[in-house]
Amino acid sequence: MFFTIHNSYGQYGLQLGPLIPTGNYFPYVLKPGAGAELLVQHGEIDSRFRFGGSFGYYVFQPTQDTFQTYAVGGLPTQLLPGYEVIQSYSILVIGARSDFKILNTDAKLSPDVGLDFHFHIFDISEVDYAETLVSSSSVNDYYLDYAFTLRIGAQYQLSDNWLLSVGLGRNMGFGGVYPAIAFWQPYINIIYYPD
Amino acid sequence: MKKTDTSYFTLSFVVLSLITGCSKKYDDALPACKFLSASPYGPDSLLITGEVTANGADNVQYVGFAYDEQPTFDILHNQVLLNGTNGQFSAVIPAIQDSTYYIKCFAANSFGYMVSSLYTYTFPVAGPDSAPCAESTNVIADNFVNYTVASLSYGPGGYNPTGFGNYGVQGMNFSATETLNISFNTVPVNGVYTTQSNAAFTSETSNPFVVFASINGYALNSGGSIYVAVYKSGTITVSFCSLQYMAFSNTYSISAKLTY
Repeated sequence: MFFTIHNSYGQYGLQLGPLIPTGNYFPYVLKPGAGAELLVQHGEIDSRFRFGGSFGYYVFQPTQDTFQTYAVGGLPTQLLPGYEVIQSYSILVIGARSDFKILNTDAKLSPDVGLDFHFHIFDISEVDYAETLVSSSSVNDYYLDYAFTLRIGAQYQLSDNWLLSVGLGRNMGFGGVYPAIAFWQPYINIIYYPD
Repeated sequence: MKKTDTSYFTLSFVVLSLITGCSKKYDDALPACKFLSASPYGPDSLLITGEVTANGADNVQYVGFAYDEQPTFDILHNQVLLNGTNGQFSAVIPAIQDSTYYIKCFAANSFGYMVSSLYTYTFPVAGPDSAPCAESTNVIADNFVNYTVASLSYGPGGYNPTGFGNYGVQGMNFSATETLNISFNTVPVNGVYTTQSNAAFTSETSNPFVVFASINGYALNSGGSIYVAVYKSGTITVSFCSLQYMAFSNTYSISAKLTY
């Protein structure tokens, strides 16, 4: 999980936390997703500005086993009862990140802010049905969108080699083919800075 | 140390609040409707009304009804589909007198649809109705002067001005000085009809229990009651008591009973 490398190449860390969907649609369909991100960071442990990358994976569960959906069609036009089953829903997160330590002191504890940019790759498997009109099953449908995350939190230098950060991020999707989703992203991460 | 403990506690509280507060129930996103009423709409139709009681998490896109003569059926059965609304919605469905119907409404938004509980309605058999006054058969009492009807005509078209109904009844005295016209939207059936002085029927959409009546070309005032009795023999009686009309700036009273 953690690698001892020359500090000129960067430091590695792990971030844990949920992605909590927000808005007027997705919170009714998806429960908060659990996941983790592998962090790569460049900069000293006490640097005010650090940047790097992340690679993460989040898994979501639907709020219902079956959703009571419908279609409209036929001759004459009717509301056709149906259902939808979300079999799996996950997001692969790949992106760049940056952190800024607010206090310009040697204090171990300092508030910090961060700005990240990601690609989100959605992997969705579902079954759709509406009487007489729709009967489909899709496995591993992939969708791409983009997102940026604003973070605010605090960092605490545990030792000369370990930096712990906690905070809250607002992850906002845009572009791509999939409808943009915004998430709250509380997190805790720990990064190892080798000597 | 105390400050640090407080900060971490506050952050934990916010995180837990986000996780629990952002959890939403799918059922809360769905709309809801309830069935309000069913009532006769002419001799062979029912007017059914429902109401959207909750929009859910999005605008209601569709509402409608489904009905059957058996209590177990899905919403594809005899479905009436309407555009979405926030309030009441109605439809006219074909029905047979003395039959029981099971009806439910549904509402749909972008999250899905919900169906109301079942409503049971029996279409009653209409009984003959007669005006509550003792008028003689085939007599027009105009301003308290009685005129015997010598000529009585009835049937579709013919006796109605253009745009006034599909079935007319005309009673006229021998000298043709008293001519009573009554225009119905459809073939009259047992019931009480309401006069409307400016009725112009479009047969598919007008209330069948609205009627236009005139005496010598003067329209009877709106809001009066005209009674129709249809007997098993096929005889029909149309009667009314003390309805009013305006002529030469004066108000006059008229009663009549026509049997044919």
